[in-house]
Amino acid sequence: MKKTWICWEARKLWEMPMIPIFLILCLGFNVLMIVGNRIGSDADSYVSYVAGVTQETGGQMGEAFDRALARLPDEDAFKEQLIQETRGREDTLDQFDAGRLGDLYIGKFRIQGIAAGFLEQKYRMLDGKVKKLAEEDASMSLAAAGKTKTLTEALFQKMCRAVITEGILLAVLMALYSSGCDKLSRTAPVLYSSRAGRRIQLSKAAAGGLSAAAVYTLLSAGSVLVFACAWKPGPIWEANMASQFNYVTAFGMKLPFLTWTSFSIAGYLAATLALGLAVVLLFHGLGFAAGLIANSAYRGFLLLLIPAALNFEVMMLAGDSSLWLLYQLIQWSPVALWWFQPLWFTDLGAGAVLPWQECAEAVFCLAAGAGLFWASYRHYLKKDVN
Amino acid sequence: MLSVEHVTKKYGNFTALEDINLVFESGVYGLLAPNGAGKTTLIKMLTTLLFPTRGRILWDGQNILSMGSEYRGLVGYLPQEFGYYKNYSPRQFLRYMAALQCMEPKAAKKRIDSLLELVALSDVKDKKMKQFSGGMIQRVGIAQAMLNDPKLLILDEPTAGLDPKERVRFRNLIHSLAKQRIVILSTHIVSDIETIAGKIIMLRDHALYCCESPAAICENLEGKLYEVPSDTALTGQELLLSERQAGDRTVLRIASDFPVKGAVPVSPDLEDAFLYIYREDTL
Repeated sequence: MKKTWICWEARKLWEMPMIPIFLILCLGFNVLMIVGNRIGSDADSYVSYVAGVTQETGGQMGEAFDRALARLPDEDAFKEQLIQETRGREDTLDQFDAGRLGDLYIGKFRIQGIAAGFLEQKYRMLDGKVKKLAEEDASMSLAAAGKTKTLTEALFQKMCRAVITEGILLAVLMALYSSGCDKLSRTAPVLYSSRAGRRIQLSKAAAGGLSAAAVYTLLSAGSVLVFACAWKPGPIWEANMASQFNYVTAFGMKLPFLTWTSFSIAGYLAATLALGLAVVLLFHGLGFAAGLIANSAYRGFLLLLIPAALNFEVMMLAGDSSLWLLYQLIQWSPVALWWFQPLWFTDLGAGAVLPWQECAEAVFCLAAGAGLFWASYRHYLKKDVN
Repeated sequence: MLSVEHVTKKYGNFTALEDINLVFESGVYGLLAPNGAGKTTLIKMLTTLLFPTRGRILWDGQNILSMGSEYRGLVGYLPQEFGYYKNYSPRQFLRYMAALQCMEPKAAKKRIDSLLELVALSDVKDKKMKQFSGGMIQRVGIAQAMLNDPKLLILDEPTAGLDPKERVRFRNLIHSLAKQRIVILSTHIVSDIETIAGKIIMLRDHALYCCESPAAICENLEGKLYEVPSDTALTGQELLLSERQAGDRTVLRIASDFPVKGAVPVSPDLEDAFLYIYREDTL
């Protein structure tokens, strides 16, 4: 695999109008989504206000915060609202027993046997981490007060979800196009009979992977910039994700957002986008392998789509049918990894059995994907070019 | 030297080529057969695009599949349907192909300029190929086939889509390229090769029919070829090969194992031999 070949193959990809058009459309969509979220609500104004308060008071609730808040000008439109939301708050993680979360999932879903055992073990491990978060007073982090959930949903469930999904779609498109474009342009015979031969596919894969990473980085950076300009979180970026104002909704209840280590919002965002990059590259590799196996962009797309749809369907059915061991096993797949992105770096609910399981899943899927890619490449080396 | 030893290619139950044995040394070889006879299949095996089901192909005694890139570096190939990138100019396309042939950039630049001169495309070397005619595209194809100064030049139906003037230019070009290399020219157009090929390889029923000089092939039909006026009623013993204009009348060229009354004996050419050999093949 030569650097020159990678450069040429990347150039062939970027000469297609598809990439810049897709990038512009995605950025446009993300801008509309980020800006549109704020229409009809004063959430962004409130967040800006809280950011200003955090700048002056430090952003950690408690007696000192209450006193500092009281000293702020009474003319501030949101002052009373903020006082109401923060008065009398206590550390919710102090004395919190993570095992109760495990019992909740086991009881609600009637999980039994090995699956239940895995969950109990996981929440025992989580308990230690919760104690560390409690020592840091993570739950007393002000974040955006009553609009914290709105802010984190807009950032992680909408913006990050959109960016990662767009990155995956474009990576797959680039992979399928790259692996099969020379068949479409009928240049395959001259390429594969040259000194480079079928080995050129490795360079195409590398070029596609680098291009997918570049596009994803542009999408992420652009979208985060727009988000920061729209919401102006300022010092709220340093707030803790385990703030009691941030939560997971399950069974009609608000459950604490418990991460395996202490994350600021900025840190959690960086970690999410970094893992998102790994997921984008994973799907690129799978798309390329599908393109090589099917020897056609269209059939390659079906080869990727059908198992992904089945994967998703099996996951849903396993959950609905209380086949919890199967449900836990199916988490170790690219589709499940992408699906649970809003809960990355947390306990991940009933499906996960390990701490940092999303990271372990990413490593496993990347290794399996690399194996599949290599096998499909070796198969392609021995395939007739018609 | 290139040798093809007992090469067979099957696709499931269909045999595309059966037990082909050939040896190639320097010079021009014409691969002549009707459409669907297996010419492109053979050529694709010589260029490693297809893998033989049985048998092997050797270059100077070494299997070309185990030689890998070393063998492919010796080969120049113009496929039957030469594809290109529409938004590339000839120079860009040849630079890309030079990169795939692992040529040094400076050497590639010199070579590209001289090849574009050779195929008379210097004036349009930076124009996008989507503006080119079929003949110009073919010339780019020939240039890319020659890029690495190949020891084995394989051209599959190179004159398809060319007008008569371009076909003559092409024949002259091949003649000049044939010195000190093996040139394999696959075609079903006899006139493309009858004056430049030293040996003609003919395939029939997916097997090798012959590998002989044009003269030797035509000799098989010597004494059997006649011309008769077009209004002559033919019996079942005569085989109509073709018609041609002779002055202001049309004459028929017929083949017969027995003398024909009133017919004028003529010397067979390669086209006559082709039509005679493939007389039973359906269209």
